[in-house]
Amino acid sequence: MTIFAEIKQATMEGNARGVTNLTKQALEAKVNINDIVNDGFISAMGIIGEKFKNGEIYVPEMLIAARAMKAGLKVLEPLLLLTTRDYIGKAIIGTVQGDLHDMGKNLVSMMLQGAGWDVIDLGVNVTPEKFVEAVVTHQPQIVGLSALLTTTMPAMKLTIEALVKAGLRDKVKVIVGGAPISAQFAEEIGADSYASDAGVAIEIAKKLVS
Amino acid sequence: MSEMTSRARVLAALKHEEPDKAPIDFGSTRSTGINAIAYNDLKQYLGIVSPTKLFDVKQLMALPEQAMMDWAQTDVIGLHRLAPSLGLRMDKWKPGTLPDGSACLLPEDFNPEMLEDGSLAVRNNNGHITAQRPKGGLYFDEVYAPLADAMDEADLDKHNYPEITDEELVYLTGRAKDLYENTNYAINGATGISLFEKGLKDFGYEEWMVRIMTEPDLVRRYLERLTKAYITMMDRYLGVVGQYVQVIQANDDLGMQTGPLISPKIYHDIFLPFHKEIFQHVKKQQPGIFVFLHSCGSVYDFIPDLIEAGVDALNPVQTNAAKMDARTLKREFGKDITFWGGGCSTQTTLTFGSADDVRREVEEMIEIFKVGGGFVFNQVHNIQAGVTPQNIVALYKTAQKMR
Repeated sequence: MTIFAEIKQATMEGNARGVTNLTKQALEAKVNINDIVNDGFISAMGIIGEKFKNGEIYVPEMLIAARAMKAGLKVLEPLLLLTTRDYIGKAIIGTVQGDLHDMGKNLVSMMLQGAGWDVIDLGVNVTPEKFVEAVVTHQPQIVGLSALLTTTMPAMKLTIEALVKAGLRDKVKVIVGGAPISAQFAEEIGADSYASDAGVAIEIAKKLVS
Repeated sequence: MSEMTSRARVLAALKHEEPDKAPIDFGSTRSTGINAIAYNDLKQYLGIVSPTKLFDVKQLMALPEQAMMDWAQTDVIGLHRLAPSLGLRMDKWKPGTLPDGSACLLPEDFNPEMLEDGSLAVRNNNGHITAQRPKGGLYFDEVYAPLADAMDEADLDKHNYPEITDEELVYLTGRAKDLYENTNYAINGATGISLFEKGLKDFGYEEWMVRIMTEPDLVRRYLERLTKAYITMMDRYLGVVGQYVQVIQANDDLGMQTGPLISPKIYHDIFLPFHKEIFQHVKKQQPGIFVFLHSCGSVYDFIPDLIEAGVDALNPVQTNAAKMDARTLKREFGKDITFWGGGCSTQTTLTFGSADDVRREVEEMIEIFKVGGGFVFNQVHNIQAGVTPQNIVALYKTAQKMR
């Protein structure tokens, strides 16, 4: 097994210590850092996302894989600052105003990072103004909005309207998700897409920018 | 068939004997009730003037009063814990307002502080912010995870596990005896028993999910302590109210919209033994009592294990989640478990549909679920703010006609 395959395997198993050690070994062997990221982490998280989407694994398995990936990225961090990482693109994500629920949002955030996106996570209870500000500052391709409650769904619409008003709507693709959200609702409020879970979200994000 | 009392009706349904008509639950639990804003709208629509008690501050839920219970024709009443949410007692009240400006009565001890960002915060006795409600939001969320950094059993031993005070037992006894002797309602006793979800709160969501995978032994040691605490608590609880309550409630959300939150195998290996220990103990102490479990989302894959654990009634029966088709549920598990809920989807039809949509769904669901007993009518989970009075009227009036 190549070192990349070993890193990929350990990431999928959620073996954070294994990933840390293997990543250090790979660095000592002076392999290309982007190869570690792409053939190790991103490849592993792609499979994890697929398995999650298909109901073969569940939230805990996905979380430990994401943690293992983060452990590996931490080893690479000092070097990643020196080299250029080839991201798929940039995404900002947040739970909309009035809503503090971030379980689903955090999963999507992790999976996007795992899929090779530069992710700016704005946290919870994010006002439309904050989303607009972040789009101006970071110029992402994707904006991800999350809501758990039927009573905070309207804040998604307000956020999209704020993007329109700021003249930014056609500069980004908006993906919405969360328990009460549907494809129909996404269409009604003028989002570009609806993602039913974190596995689907990364597929859609990729499609929207390709 | 002669007219049954509400209590007999609910008991028949739980025994899977078809009652004279299907029982209705309007607000007996913190997951079969109504948001106080929607409740005030409904009362105004119906011309009922009386103060609304906000008994569950966390979820902003109203305590249904007699006139509304009569209107809904409920067959069940809740015996709530003295402090149902956020540690706020429900025996003393003060005037207040809801986020929409309408009037209500608030628990006297509810004195939240406003944080810089405009959100409201509640602290515990040690000064930790335990729950927060964002500006413009309707829900408090619990934000303090005391076991987030727990390393070993010594840390688990320092933790405070659920208990019931002598003072609360006195309160519950008086309330339960009164409800039992002076009403015909079936009495549904809240307990707060929760294993998986309690772990989520004590460790924090992500930490808990990860530790289930990486430190299953520590998770089991925690669940042992929790189980022991619940058994002690239930012995004390049943000792005073066991003769009055017909159902006790537990809650453990195990599902997401799209499927189980954790693998059914992990539930089976780690959690089932503890659920079983608690529920079987309760049934041994109080023969004839029924166990109600609230578990949101797609929980189809867990149902056989829940039945084995001793769960008699499943709530909220989230029919719009994956694999939660009403007909399939009734066909596969209808003889072994009572469906308490499932009457109309709150995430979709009830909130976003027309009154006609609500009527159609309620008719269909009651037709499916009521056959042979094993059904207590309720919408799926609490009626949320913004649901129109017209839809709520359609919900309960159709249920009354069809049941």
